[in-house]
Amino acid sequence: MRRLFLFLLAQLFSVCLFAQQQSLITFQLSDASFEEFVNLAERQTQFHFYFDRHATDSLRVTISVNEEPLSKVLKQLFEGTRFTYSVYNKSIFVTRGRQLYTFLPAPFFDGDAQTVEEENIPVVYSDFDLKEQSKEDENKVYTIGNRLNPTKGPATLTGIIKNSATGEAMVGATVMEANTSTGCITDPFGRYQLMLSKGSHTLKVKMLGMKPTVRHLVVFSNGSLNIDLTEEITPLKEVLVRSDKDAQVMGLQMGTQKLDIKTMRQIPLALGETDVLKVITALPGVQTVGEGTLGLNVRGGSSSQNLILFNDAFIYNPSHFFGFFSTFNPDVIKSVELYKSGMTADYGGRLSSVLDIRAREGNLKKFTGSGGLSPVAARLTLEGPIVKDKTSFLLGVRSTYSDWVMGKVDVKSLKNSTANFYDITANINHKINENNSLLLSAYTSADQFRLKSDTNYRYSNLIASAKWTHVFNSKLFGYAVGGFSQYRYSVSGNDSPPSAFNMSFSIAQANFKTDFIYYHNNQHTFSAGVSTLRYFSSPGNMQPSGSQSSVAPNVLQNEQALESALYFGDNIEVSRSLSLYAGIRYSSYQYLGRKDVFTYVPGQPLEISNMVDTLHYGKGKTIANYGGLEPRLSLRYKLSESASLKLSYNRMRQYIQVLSNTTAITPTDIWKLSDTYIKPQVGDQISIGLYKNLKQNLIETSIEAYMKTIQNTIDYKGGAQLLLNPHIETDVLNANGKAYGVELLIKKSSGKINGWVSYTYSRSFLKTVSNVPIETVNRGQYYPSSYDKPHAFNFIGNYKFSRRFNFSLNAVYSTGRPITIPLGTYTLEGKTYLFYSQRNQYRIPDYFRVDVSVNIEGSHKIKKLAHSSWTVAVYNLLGRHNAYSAYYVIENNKANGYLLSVFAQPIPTITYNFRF
Amino acid sequence: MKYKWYWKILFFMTLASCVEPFKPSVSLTSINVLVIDGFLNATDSTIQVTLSRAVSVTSSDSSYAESGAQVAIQPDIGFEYFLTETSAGVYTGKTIISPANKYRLLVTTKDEKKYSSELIDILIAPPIDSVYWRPMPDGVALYVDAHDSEQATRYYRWTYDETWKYRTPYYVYKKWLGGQLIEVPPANNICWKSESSNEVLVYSTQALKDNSVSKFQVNFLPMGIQKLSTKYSINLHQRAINSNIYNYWQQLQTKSQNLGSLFDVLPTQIIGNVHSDSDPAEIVLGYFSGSTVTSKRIFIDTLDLPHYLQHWPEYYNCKPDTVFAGDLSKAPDGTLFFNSWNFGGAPAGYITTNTYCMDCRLSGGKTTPPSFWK
Repeated sequence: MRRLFLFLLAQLFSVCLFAQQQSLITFQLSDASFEEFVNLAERQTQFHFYFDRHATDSLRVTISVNEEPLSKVLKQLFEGTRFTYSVYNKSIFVTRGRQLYTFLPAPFFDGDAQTVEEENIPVVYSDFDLKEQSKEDENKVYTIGNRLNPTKGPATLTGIIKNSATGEAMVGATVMEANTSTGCITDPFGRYQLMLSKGSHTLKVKMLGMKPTVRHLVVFSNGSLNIDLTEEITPLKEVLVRSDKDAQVMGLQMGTQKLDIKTMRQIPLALGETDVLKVITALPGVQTVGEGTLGLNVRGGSSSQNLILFNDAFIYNPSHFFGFFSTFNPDVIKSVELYKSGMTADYGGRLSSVLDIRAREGNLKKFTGSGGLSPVAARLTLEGPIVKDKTSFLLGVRSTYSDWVMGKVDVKSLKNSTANFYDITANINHKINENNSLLLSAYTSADQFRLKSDTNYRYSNLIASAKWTHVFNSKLFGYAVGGFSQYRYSVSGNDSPPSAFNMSFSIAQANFKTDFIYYHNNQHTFSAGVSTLRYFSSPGNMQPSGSQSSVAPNVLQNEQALESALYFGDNIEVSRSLSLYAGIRYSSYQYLGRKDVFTYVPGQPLEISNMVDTLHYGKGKTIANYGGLEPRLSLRYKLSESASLKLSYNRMRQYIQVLSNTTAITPTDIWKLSDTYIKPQVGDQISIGLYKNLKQNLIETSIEAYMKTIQNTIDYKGGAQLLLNPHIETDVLNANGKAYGVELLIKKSSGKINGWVSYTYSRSFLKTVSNVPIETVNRGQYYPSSYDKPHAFNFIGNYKFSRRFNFSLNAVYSTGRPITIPLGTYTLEGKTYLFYSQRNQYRIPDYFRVDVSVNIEGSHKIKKLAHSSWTVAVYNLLGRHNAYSAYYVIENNKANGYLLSVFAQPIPTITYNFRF
Repeated sequence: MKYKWYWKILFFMTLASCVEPFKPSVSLTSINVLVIDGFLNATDSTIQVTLSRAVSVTSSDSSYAESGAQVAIQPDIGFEYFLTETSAGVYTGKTIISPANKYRLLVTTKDEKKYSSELIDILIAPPIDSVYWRPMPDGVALYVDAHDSEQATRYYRWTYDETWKYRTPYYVYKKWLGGQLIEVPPANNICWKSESSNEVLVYSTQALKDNSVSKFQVNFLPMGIQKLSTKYSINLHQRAINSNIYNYWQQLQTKSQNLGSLFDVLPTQIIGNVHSDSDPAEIVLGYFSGSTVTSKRIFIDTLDLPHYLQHWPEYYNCKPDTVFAGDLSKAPDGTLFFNSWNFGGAPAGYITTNTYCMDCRLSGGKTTPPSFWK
């Protein structure tokens, strides 16, 4: 180390010397050899050149200079080549590829405490590309702070991690001291702060999607070091899940999976569209009820229990085409993070999971675009600076051209059918100054379809959010987010003019949230915040359509509610091996007037016949009031450098329910706010996990087990009327749920072969609670929920043949979902009907599917006009007839069962993607 | 079968779907569930209660009649009235049913289990305004209009009886019998056939401004069927129901059309208004209701149909066949002939065809017209 310092010192001095001994040269050369140039130069100056004749024989010199300093001439000469030179006294060393350092850095002798940044290092003339440049940075030794400071005790190192290409601050990058494994995660400005002992250290910096880097440094006192990360050059290297490899073991968080968009692009999907939610279902503990549905069932929770956030705003319906696609345009997504357990106190409002989807910020440096074509949709994304390095925009548009396809397909049953969707994402990212930034984000998606019938369905999401990030000082920063989300649908029927109608539903929420994170010291990081959320819902509005319609208007009263929360959390580093997160959230909910509420005979079942009175509540009056504490606790105990044990407990409260008596989420489901009779749901989860990394973190393994209870979820009386029902409480039943499971995961994140294998054993049950036994489902016993699939196995593999070809293979297996089947038939008035078993006592056959895909990248010239890639995929390669559903038809007074497979044969697709 | 939008979506999305038979291993081979179906007709004072048992899917039987039960109706004021079993599992009676009373059904099965219904009201059905038909591109649709000026009901149920006349294309005139060709009068070439509805037709005007049923389709006759071959008649019966009965039938209907999609309502056991008194947890199926019944009959003559609907392919494959006079002895006994051709003044051959094309009874009809036929 000492020698290095001397070396760096010399480097500095020589710069000064060189500057004082400027020698001017004059000559003209045309296509001369380097040797000829050297001879001339040596004659005109006192310098002597040291160089390798063989190495320089390809270098031809054409130059015309008149009284120019030698330094300038050399710079001009070596521009665009791999040659560099160094000057030491009267000698000039010409080297190829690697610079010879002849001096030491300034602070070594220089008394005043200077932060060494790359700018202070003498400029190196070379043609090194970005990657090699960063490699060079990795080999340097940086001196931090004032050398005259006492050499004992701690020092604070701060800095900003940026993307070297776009200037984007790298949020959530891990900066870690390699030897002690103390580390931190960068804040929203890409800042980090580390407490280090004085002396030499190696910093490891990692970030999903970026090339990991290291910095060697000697710390004398407090100081700062900015680090640029280069992107893992995307067309060349597509790596699977690359989340911080040791975070799984070292991080406090459990039950979390982070995926980046590159991972998702590799996974073959049915219709050639990269789909973030579909990929999520390949993770352990996440299931769906069927192939064409998007509702995620996370650890035995229902699909309405997921907090799906897109840039901090909630999305009510994340599906297009009834679930064949998710509404997120893959080109605008940066990352997707799923929390299945151990939610921190800043999240609340849903029981099962948090799915945090982040859109990219626009490129701050240059204007770029990307897009693609798949068999069903086309997309285009544009981004670029508005004010360079300060403000950028990103705009992504995706739309289907299925109507055009439908027009081409001459199928009689598709005549008069239309189906459309589009989604638009826009955001503006503005860096106000070093301590403030603003992200404005808007998103809309819309679907419309009419299929041969005269009933037209439309649904749409609209969200907007503004997020202000402010850094108070190096220890405290905060966010303020204001958001608006709306979901609406309408069904219009024009079968016959007298019964023509238009039925609509809408729910909207306006929310505000602010969070503060205070980095106290290496032992404590505090977080605290408040949030408030106002709901507005129009639960049903039936109107006649057209002048001939005799449909009576039927408008359910609007619903409104206020949900607020206050939280506090502390990340505690108890010892080197034990760390802890303790958080507490208090949420409070008021169901507000104006609204009429029916009352029922006390102690009697909620039935129309027991209705006694109607209470009128005025505008803004509280009708029902709920609230409670939600403790959150996570604990990590490091068993060794590569293994840890984690525990977590969390309680969640949910004040909104989805009314749906279908198996899958449908666009016309009703979101119902908790009211006097429909109590908020409460979920508790305990989980435990063991994490072990093998082969220097190359292979991650984990086993997690969980147990969960859910109170006050909803079940339905037989034939419940959910639509336009002003007293929904008479048709629903209170239910409790329980779920438990074990998840195993083995993941290899990098290398020629990468991917993961997971196995999950999980169960999920519901039990209805009612005073009237005949009304309960399955006589009030626990029964398997519709998404109870005990065994699930996933294999996601990727093999890189070369930089331009990579091959992916998925295999998915799961137990068939529970169904209710008829046990018998009976005859009423000449017609045969089905007599059903108790609910969900049977299962459809097990599910197994294999998909493959090949990604072919265009050539890798960096300065190409546009980069393109092709993905050729085959979904369900084996053509297995996986049952989507089972149904019974009465034929000749007998019940005959059938299985329907949606993708019953291999489905090949080709997708074209481009970037410019 | 009614296609629903999501099937089309699936179809469109994939064009790769496939349907296969499904026989899950159901361990249960017998189920013991009583089905009670009762109706009090306050217009003609008839009562009919049908008792049966549900049949396991694994069984090849279609239904089990429940015989030997004691069945009674009990008015809220007055005495029980016992029904008699007129055929296996069918219990009938005739007594004055007063809309002023409420009634309960009491059943004691032969295994001594007691069942009863809730007390029901006798509902008053308004008259049917009109029953009419409209030609459609692929058949004839039949509609009903109705309203209740008394505002007694907003829920309607219809049943109907259909009767139709049809003809064979050939009339018999001779028959080969016992080695002789005998002259027979033309017979069995015109038949009448009847059927009762088994579709559940219920409708609610609850969501409408006016309590009036307008152009509710009660039946559809596809082009080319026997019913449209000559003359058709429908007698539509209208009952008043209440919201519970409406919901019951509505649910049964949606269940019977359940196609197993994930967007279908989760199936449940649909429980009516009858229950077991012996074991409250026992599942009993069926419904007991009562109403006055109003009826209206219309006729459709095929000649009144648009020309494109006047075709009936049932007998298109009736190919005449000639038996030469000399070969008559080889003809089977009972061969029917509808014509002959002469050569030199004497019959040289007799023309026959498939018996089915000359005897309408073979298509299931009766040769006597019903009393209402005109």
